[in-house]
Formats: sequence, structure tokens, C-alpha cells
Amino acid sequence: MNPDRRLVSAALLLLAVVALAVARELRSPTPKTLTPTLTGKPELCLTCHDGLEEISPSHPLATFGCVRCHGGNALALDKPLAHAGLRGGRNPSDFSVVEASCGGSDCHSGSAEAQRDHIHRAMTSVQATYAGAIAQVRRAFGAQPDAIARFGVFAIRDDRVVSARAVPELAPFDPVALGDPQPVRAFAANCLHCHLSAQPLMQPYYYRGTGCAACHVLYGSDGLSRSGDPAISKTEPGHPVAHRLTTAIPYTTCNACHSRGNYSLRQMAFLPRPDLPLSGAPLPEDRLRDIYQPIGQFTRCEWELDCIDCHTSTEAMGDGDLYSSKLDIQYIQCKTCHGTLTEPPRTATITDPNDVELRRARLNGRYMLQVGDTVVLTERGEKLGAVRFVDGKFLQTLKVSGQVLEVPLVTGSACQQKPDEQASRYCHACHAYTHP
Amino acid sequence: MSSRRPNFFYHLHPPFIPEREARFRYTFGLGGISAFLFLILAITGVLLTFFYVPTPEEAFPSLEIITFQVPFGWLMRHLHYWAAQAMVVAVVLHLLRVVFTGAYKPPRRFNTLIGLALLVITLLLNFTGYVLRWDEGTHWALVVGTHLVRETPLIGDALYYMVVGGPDPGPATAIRFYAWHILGLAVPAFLLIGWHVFRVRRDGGISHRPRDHDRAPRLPRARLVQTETLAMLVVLAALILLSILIPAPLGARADLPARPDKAQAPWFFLWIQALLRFLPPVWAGVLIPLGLLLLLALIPYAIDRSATGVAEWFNRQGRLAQVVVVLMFSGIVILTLIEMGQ
Amino acid sequence: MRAMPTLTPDDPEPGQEARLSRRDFLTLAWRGALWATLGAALVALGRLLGFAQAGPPVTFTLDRPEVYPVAALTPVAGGRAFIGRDARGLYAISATCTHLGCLVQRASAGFSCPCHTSRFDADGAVVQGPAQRPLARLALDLDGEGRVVLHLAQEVDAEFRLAVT
Repeated sequence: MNPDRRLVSAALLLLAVVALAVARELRSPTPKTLTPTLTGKPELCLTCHDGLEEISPSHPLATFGCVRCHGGNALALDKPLAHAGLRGGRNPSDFSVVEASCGGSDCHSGSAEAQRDHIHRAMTSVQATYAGAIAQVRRAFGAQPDAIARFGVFAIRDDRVVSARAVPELAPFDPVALGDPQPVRAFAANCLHCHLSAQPLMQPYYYRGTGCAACHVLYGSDGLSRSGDPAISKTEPGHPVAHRLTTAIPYTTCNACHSRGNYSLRQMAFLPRPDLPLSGAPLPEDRLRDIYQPIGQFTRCEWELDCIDCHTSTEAMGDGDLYSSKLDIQYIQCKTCHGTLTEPPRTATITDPNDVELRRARLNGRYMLQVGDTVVLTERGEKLGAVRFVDGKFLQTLKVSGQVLEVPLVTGSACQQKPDEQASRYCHACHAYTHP
Repeated sequence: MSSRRPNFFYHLHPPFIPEREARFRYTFGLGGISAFLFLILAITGVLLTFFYVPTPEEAFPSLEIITFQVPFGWLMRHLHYWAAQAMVVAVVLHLLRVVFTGAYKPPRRFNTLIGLALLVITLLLNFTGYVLRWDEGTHWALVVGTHLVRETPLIGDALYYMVVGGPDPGPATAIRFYAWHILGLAVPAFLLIGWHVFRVRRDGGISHRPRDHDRAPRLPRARLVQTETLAMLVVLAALILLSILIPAPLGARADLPARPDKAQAPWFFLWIQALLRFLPPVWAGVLIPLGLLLLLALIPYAIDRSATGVAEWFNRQGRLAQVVVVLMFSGIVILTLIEMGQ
Repeated sequence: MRAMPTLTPDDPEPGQEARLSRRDFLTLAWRGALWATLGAALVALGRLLGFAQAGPPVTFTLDRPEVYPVAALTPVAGGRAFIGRDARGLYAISATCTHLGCLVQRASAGFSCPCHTSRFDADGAVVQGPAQRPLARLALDLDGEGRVVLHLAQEVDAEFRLAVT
């Protein structure tokens, strides 16, 4: 056929458009497929998130993949479609979705006997329910006659109440619907941003996760990510330091809520501590200044150690019961490790190869523990695996830094401890931070 | 004239066509464009069958694999989608052109019926293709559509089972919609297109003014073939460009029995969705659409029986038919716009 | 598309025989564009049809090495391979018949294939039958927990052993 000009132009137009299509195909990213052995279904997440760290040695990527915990669309490479159905947005451990992400009897909704029902323990803990603060404020302003908790930040039931001081359930705290007086409503409006379901303030020193990630995922004081994943912004604050779960939790994580300031019952407002900046870059780290607010009374060991070097798993995560006050669950004292004038610290020897303390030691990675080791035993029967009795000495391995310290005992020392004054504030009288 | 023997494609065309009716602004090439779009759909459709899996669990993931992993799979899928939407527009515009130029008048009356059958098949092909996506947006269209089928008087239940394959939409439905889409609709459409084109030739070629054939200016078929080739190249280039720029929709996967945010019919059935708001389903979904179809079918046989006025845009003899069609499609467009604003 | 015979001949001007006429250039551009498009389309078609999805698993985690006895061939991975052991260590023989791919079974002194009666000896060498090549040897290594890992997609030579203490 003799082509006229229009035909040739059309043919060239078609060729140009086909070339465009080929160019687009060549530019599209090569899919990176991961087929986790647990699900057997291929996932393309690593195509964009190439460089992301393994979340933890206990949750290897090759076994779990990404979708088992995060949800989302395994086969999509288009960002909105891939992230459709993502549980909890960036945080699958948020309490609204934690059961689907982390639960299951093989996983973190295991048996209560072995204290392996971590989800239930965390969700019933006072850090999650805020029941103690709510009860105290309501009682202070006459909305309830006593300090027994009836309300929490979300509704929760405990079908297996063990302690006599525990309550079986909490209703959601809604002061307007309950008809509570104005100060209680102001409390709900101004003071409820430090429980495990609350979104953190987007300010230096306040950045943290919610749900399990509130403690087990570390955030920098500046809230910036240092992850190897190119898809995560390195300049937008509000990201964890890395895509990692840990049990070596430093004081900075606890201090995203604790030691941030004071509540004023008169103004019904939160007053942030004035010695740390509320915007811009955080100050260089200084443990003495950072760990406790200027009004605190504490001894030197308390700021040389991290919080989890003393506070136990039951104290931090709860024991599965709903309490009305943190005093029901917080029980560690100086004498647990240091003993009294007449008695050394209580100890126990690890005999069971399935002992949870051995697992904890492996997960933490800073201290070694094996069957036959003798460790300190708390008043409630919890073993402190990091404080071992070796060659006649008590040695504590710090859970974050790994440093080993010898625990000085009260027996045979010049301590003035009285048998009936065992609370730690009595130790502070002499062992305040200027008197190490 | 030629020492070489004409090939198959040339032979499909008449040796000469009247010059007046060969002009673009007479037919706009809509019939040919519709047929070409069907060809594109057939080719891209065949390539898609190599990867698409017609089960509720695998349908959406297989589409994701096509879109994100298969080399040029995205192009096949987007081309298939855009050609399908363009085909609905093209066949409707072709219908309007046929009515406005009186091309339904004798001897072309029966061919109009074949064309109407093709219109229905085109809409059903688009609908079955829409459902086969099996994502959140389309799944409720499946439920609503099949329940409307059930509303048909007398044969509703039988029709429902033929379409759904069970008491509720499920795995049998996926494979049936797939079978309908390819074997129950596309294959008959191919045969009907063949018949439709044959009838065009047999009825005297493109509808034209009755006049002395020897004296009216004519174009050799070579020119017609050139024009058709030009149209095909332009349409293909435009569709490929559209496919590069705007992807075919793919929502989140459907998980029964989650409730939808907004049940949404495909765009060409939005007018029925609007009717469903204030009319009983048997009227909105069955009787009114069938009635409109019947009305269109009656145009050559009852509404305008005259044989004069062929090939004249807005000819006087066919005024009633033109008004009927304008009113019908205006109504459909208005209902569609209302429903889109909801 | 065949060129129709021209109605007006296009003879080159005297003295300009070598110049490409406009019609020839248009024809060239036309055909060039169409052939290029067709070529691109065929290549794209080839890539599209050649796409292969991730297949079934090719890595199998087996037992600890002590489990596999000397002078015996243990079927593993659903019969896809056999683990043998000698003084130097463990080895794996693929059960895929080298004729047309059926899985061979243990026979009296080696393997036999049920599909076309190929026979192999205990080392995988061909004894009889339409198969021409010996059974492949597959790679083995140990994982972090000390278990044997079989790599179905990785062939090694007959000397390969996974040393075990």
C-alpha cells in the first residue's frame, strides 16, 4: 500500500507509545520475593523495604515473613494497595489489633499458668488501663466513694481473678457519659496521654510506640529512624530507631512516659518538667539529669542502673489481674538484692531446663544463665536471672549495657537499716545521690 | 485492473464505497472502532487467561501477580480494561449514529436487531469482567446483580442458578462468571460480529442515499482500507497511552462477609442503581431495562417504518425514533449523574 | 499490505536516479515503524509468556546427621531425594529420573523408575533403561541448630560429602 503522510505519522505515533510502554516496564522495580516457611505464600514487601532489619532473632523473616504480623497485601507493589489492611498502621502491636498480630496459643496468647499470656498481662496492667489514676481522681472529686477501680481507658474483663485485691472487670472511662464533675472531665481531657494506648506527644523525649511497642521497640529522644530501610523517612520524627524488638530496654524508653513532669490537681493540667527542651533537638544524654526529675529522691544505683535492672517482669507487664493501684503490683525493694542486717538475699537454683529465666537470658543476650545457676528470688517468687550468686558473691549483669557489678550486702556493713523500715525511702535518707 | 490477486482483508471490503458516506463525519468509524476494540479485548484477554485464576481465593492475588510481577502484565490488564470501557462508549455512540442517520431502515432492519444483541452482550461482558476482579468494590455488585436476575418473573430462579451456580455467590460463581465471560459471551459475540458485518455487505454496504450508483462519486477499497488502518493505529496508540498513564482500578481484596462502604455498580449500570432507590427491583432491574431494549428493537419495525430518509442526519422521516432515543439516553445519563453525586 | 500498482509512474528525474523518492521514503518509514512495533510486541509477548511464578519449595530442613545410617539410603523430602552415608560423610542422591523426570524408587540394589523401567545402581549410575545420565547429587549443609538442609535445586559432583563428626 502506498502510505500517505497520515498513516506514517500514525505508525510512528504507535511506535513511540509502544516505546514508552517498554521504557516503563524496564524502569519498574524487580520484585523481591520472600516465601516464609510458616505461611508458604510469597510476599513482595522487601521490594520496597529492601534493607529492613530482622525484627528479632525469635521472629526470623524467613519463617514468619511480614504479613503474618503486619497484615497488608503481600502481592501488591502499589503503595496504597500494598498497605491496605495493614494492622495498626505502622504498629501491629497496638492493642486494637494485637490479638490478630501477636496472638495465638502458640504465640503470645499462650497459657496463663506459664505466664505466657503476654497480651492478656499487658492489657490488664495498670500501665494499660490507667485504672489507678482514674479511680483516685474520681474519688478525689466525689465521683466514687472509694479508690477501687471501676473504669479503665478501655473495657476489659479478667475471667481468672487470682489476687484478692484485683477486680474482675473495668468499664470504659467516659466522664461525660458518667456525669462526672468538671475536674474529672478536665482530667480526661488533659491528663490521659501516658497509657499504652495513648498516642504520644510529638515532642523530644516523648516519642514512643503504643501497645507492646511502647516498651519493646526503642525510640530515640529525637524520634528519628536509623533503620536500613530506604522507604522509612529519616527526617520525620515519630519513628522507632530501628525495626527491632528487644528486651534490653533502656531507661529512655520508660522515660517517654515516666519522669516527664507533674500533674497539677489544682489546674487539672500536665506540667512538663522545665529542665528539658520541649521542641528542637534533645540535649546530649546525661543519666543523672535524665532519669529522674529534679524533685526525685533516689540513690546512686538507681540512676546508674536501668529501670529493668530492678523492676521485674511482673511489675512492668502485670500478672494478668486488674488492679486498682500500682502499689498492688509494684513491690521490688532494695532488700531484695541487698538483703537486711540479719539476712542475705533470698535465692533459688535453676533446675528446670525449660525455666523461663533461661529463655529470658537468651532473649536479652547480655547475661548467660544455665541450669544449676543460683539467682536472687523476690518476695513474690520471681527469679532475677541477672543477679547471680557466684563464688560467694552476688553479681548483677546490667540488662542494657552488659556491665557486671558486685552487689554490696547490708549484712556486715555499717548500714543503719531498721527491720520495720524496709521501704526504699528509708534507704534514700542516707543513700541520696550525693552520698553514694 | 490489478495483476495481483487481492488478499483476504481487501476482499472483505466492497470494491467501491460511495464517497459521501465514506467521510468520517458520516459514521465517525464507530462500527469499525467497536470491532477493533473487540479484537484488542480478545488478544489481551487470551494473554490474561495465562495468569488469571478464577477462584475466590486466587482471583485477586492472580491479578496482583499480573499487575506487579508479570512482564507487561500491567499493560495487558490496563489495555483490557480501557478497551472494554471504550467499547461500551463506542457501541452506544454507534447505536445513536445508526438511529440518527436512519441506517436501521429497510433492508437493514434485521441487522439492527443483531446490533442490539451485541449491545447487550457488550454490557454483560463488561459486567462479568468487572465481577471477575473479585475485590471489595466489585463483590457487592455481584451480589446485587445476581439478586436482580432472580427478580425476573417466571424464570428468575432458574436464571439465578445458571449464573451463580449455587445458593450464594461462591467458588462456583467465580468459575461460572469466567465461563460466561469467555465462552458464553465473547465467543457468541465474535460470531454475531461476523454476522453483523456480513449483513452490512449483504444489505448493500454502508447505508447510503438511494441514487444512481454509476454517477455518484466513489472511493476504491484501497482508500477504505487505508482509512481503517489509520483509525486502528490511532485507537491502539491512544489506548496504550491511556494504559500507561491511568491504571485499571484494583481495590483491596474482597473478604466475605465484610460489609462494603458503598455498594457501587459499574458506571454503565449506575442508572439502574439510581432506579433501585425508588422502584421495586423487578421494575428497576428487569422490566424497565428489558422495556427499553424492546423499544429500541421496535424502532425499525414499528416506530419508523418508512424506507426513505436513509443516510441523512436527523432525517425528517425518522424524527419520532430520534426523539425516543434522545429521551431514553438523556434519561439514562441524568440518572447516572444523579447516582454519581450520591 | 501489498502495494497497489501505481496509477502514475514515478520515474526518477534524469540525473537523479539514486535519490530516494518521497514515496519510497514514506513506504520505508511506514514499514519500518510497523516492523519495529511488531518486533517490540513479540519480544514483550515472549517475556510475558515466559514469566514463571515462585514454585514449590526447594530447600528442605531434615534431621540431625546422626539419624542417617551408614550403608543405607533414606528417602527424604517426600521421596524427592535419598540420603546416604559413608566414611567421609553424608551425600544426597536426587530421585528425579534423568530420562523424563519421574521419581525413582528403591529397588533391590539401587533404584528403578516406574515410568519407563530405567534402572540405576546404589550410586546412581545407569544400569539399564532409556535413561542416559546418572542420577544427580544434591547439595547438603547444616543449619544453625545442627540439622541437615537439602538443596533440591543445587547439584554437586559425586565426590561431595557433608562431613559429620
